[in-house]
Amino acid sequence: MEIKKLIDSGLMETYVMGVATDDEVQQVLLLKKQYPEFDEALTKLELDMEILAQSMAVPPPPGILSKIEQEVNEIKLREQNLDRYTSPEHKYQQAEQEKVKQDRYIEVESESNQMRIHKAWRWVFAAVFVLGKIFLGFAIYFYLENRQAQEQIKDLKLEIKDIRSIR
Amino acid sequence: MSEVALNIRKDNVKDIRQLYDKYAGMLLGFIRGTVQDHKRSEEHLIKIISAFAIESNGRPTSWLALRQYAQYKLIEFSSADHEGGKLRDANEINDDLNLLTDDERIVFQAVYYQKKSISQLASLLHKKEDILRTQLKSSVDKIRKARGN
Repeated sequence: MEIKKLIDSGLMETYVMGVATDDEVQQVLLLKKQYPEFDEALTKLELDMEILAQSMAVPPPPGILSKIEQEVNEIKLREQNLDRYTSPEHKYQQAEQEKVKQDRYIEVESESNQMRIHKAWRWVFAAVFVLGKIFLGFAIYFYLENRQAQEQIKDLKLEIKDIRSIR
Repeated sequence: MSEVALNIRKDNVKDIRQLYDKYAGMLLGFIRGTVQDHKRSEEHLIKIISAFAIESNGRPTSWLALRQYAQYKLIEFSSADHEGGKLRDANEINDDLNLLTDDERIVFQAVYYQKKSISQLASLLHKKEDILRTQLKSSVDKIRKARGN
């Protein structure tokens, strides 16, 4: 009598519809085990719900199956790529690549304010250094030349003055 | 699409086809109960069956499990489309719903198609949970009776 009341309570319907609370689910599973009558009624209800869904079925348009296969394929590919990028082998490869990359750079400063420059820049630095030296040499040379020329002009001016005074 | 172009195993392809043959029509009918737009309902069908096929991974499954999975997915899609919380009238696609009273139809649709719990419905419709449970049961009974079960 009590089981009949439970069958009529709407508990099975909420369970089959997937909206039963955790407590209700536990209760249904227990009743299913304990009472064959409840188990039978539940199985029948599940079957009826499936028949109801069959009667409401809408045939899918052509091409849907191939789209599903394509979608599954894409999801699997995405998962494979994700696995590859998160696998320990990939992390090791990345660390190795990072190490190789580091070897191509000169450590300019090693502490807090670090600066990393590509090795190719060393030729530019060398050229700038050499050109700097050349320009410095030219500057000293022309300075001395200029000073000598100034002295010569001074001497010539004195000579001209002397010649004029003699006349 | 040829199987060669696919990155999935042959037995997976077989599982997908079995799932499709058995449930695609039922699932599309179910989706149409919540999504009016036919193109969008077909898109949802593709997404749901694909995801379910991957999750079940060839294990035996049931309509009940697939429908519950579809309910979760449809809630996800509807919240993404900003449609959550609306109670949609689906009786244009299901004659059985015309057998029900207005209250029964609202309860059945909200639970069956939109996975609204009894407590959610109680606060939404300002009704007691016991009354809603009874209405749900009577709606299911009426539909079963109409189908001779």
